[in-house]
Amino acid sequence: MIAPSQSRSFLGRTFNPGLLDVFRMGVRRTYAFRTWLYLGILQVFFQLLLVKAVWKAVYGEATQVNGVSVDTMITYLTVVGMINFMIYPIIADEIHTRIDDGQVAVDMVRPIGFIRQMLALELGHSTGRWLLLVVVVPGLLLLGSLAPPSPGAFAVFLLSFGLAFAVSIQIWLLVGLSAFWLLNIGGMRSMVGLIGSFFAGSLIPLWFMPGPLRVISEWLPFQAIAFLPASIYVGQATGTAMWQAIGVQALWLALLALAVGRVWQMAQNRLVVQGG
Amino acid sequence: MPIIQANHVAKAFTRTKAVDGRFSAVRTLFTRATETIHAVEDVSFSVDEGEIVGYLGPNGAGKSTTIKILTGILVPTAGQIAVAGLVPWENREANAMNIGVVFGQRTQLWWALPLQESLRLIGRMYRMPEDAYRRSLDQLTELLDMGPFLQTPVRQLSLGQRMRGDLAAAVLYRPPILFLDEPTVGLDIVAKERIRAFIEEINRERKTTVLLTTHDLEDVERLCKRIIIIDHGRVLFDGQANDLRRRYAPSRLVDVTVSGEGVAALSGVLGALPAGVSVVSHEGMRASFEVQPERVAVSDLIAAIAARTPIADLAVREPAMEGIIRQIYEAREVIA
Repeated sequence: MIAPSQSRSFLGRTFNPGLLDVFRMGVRRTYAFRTWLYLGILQVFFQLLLVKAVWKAVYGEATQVNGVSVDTMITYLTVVGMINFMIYPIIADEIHTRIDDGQVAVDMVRPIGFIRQMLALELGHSTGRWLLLVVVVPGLLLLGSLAPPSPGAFAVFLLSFGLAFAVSIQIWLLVGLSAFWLLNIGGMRSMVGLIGSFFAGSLIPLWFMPGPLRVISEWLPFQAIAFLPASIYVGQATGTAMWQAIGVQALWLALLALAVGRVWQMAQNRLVVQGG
Repeated sequence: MPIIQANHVAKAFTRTKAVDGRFSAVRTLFTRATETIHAVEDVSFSVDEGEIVGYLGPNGAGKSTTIKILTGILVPTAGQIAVAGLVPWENREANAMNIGVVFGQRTQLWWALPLQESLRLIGRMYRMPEDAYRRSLDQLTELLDMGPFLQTPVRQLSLGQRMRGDLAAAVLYRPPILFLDEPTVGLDIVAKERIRAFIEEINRERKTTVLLTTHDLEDVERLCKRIIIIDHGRVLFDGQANDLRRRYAPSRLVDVTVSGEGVAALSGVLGALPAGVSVVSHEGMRASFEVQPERVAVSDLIAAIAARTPIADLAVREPAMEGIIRQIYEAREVIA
């Protein structure tokens, strides 16, 4: 069977049924290391307990700071905890491992593009995590608060969460692709992890950040991952601000996707297969 | 009509130069010095449909790099390639449908899955209809005797079983071209023979074109009429294996053992050898001769001995491919 020529586009057009299998392997990946998974859940709870304690102390007797009530603040932290649990990409590590042991050679002779295989695997892994919301959400409700927003805001939050997920995957995809040059991405990963979680507003929402830090945060893509969807959820971004947030996320998604396409083109010329 | 064509292909890698001496690890971090490695300098060849070609060369010659370019994994720095009419790295997915690949050093099967599950997944990726998949799996299960381990997870297979599984995965969807990068590496004699018989069968039955790299010259003697030898990223030889043999080691070796009474007669023979025969060794009842076939027929030598004394044992040997290849690797010159 001699197949006709296809374009080099990394997203491709025709759906390959093998992608479903790669997806399922991703789901399986979530449950391959259970201890790690359970510790991850505990970490979400633990972090919520700690930041909640800190913020309660900061508020003290005040009911409002900068127009944000203590209840809103706690809901914000809880939503961020949930987002951080749900958005936990392994795509960078997957790519790194494959470059490191040379298995990338096998991935690249399959009739599914490398990036699409990685995305399907990531989607499977994330879906596997989302199934655990049945445990995580009750825990979060117990420790914090998920006071539901208006149905309209909730719908926009879902859209915003989807965009946040996509932005995060593009960022980690870029980190993973850097392995084509760096071979070891350990340093890169912890740097992006640290900077990312701070500027995403996981500990301090952007509205409490001092001027310069806030400006930096607003110019970085990380706010799109946690801060923007969480502020929509708690009703801090409403009306125009809400749609502006969605616009910022969509813009970042487009920019990052372009960057991924460009970097992937260059990476193919840089590829070195380890171990013959 | 060639199914694989490579024209002046080159591939260079750039890498950061490691620094020697004190604090070398730290200094390497701050150095901008890079070095360029020319894995493939200039390689051209073409392969016709249905051929089995042995692609040989010492370690680091550029064999695997060439295979990785032909399969679309690597992008060459220069040159043109067409594999079944496609430029591999520009049409990776379409090219993948046309080729089967086995890397002896790694597996394309999934460690955690039973072999059959792995193969089913391959079948889906290559968009095989259910009945075509069934038929192909049944045929391969029989040919490769995979029945006993189809349900075993890949990580528990022996190397020989795994290699059979990998071969099955590479030909399951009946690709017209097969790239085999050291498919017998690390296998025992029986397992190697099974793999060779399988390659031969697939080539005969399906007219599959095979490009094979190996360090085991038994593979070459058994399977390849044509060989391409490369070193330092250049082609040293491209032609029929027989030509190479004729050119490098045209002579035949004849070992003769005569019966007890013939010892004196054998000495007599040694005194009156036909032209084109020389004595390699002689000890009591045994003697070895080197015969130049273009000057004298091996049968004439045997007749000359048999005329004087009964022969107890006789062997005619062709020089082994191994010796020839060793000469070429050591000389490292292009053979016109």
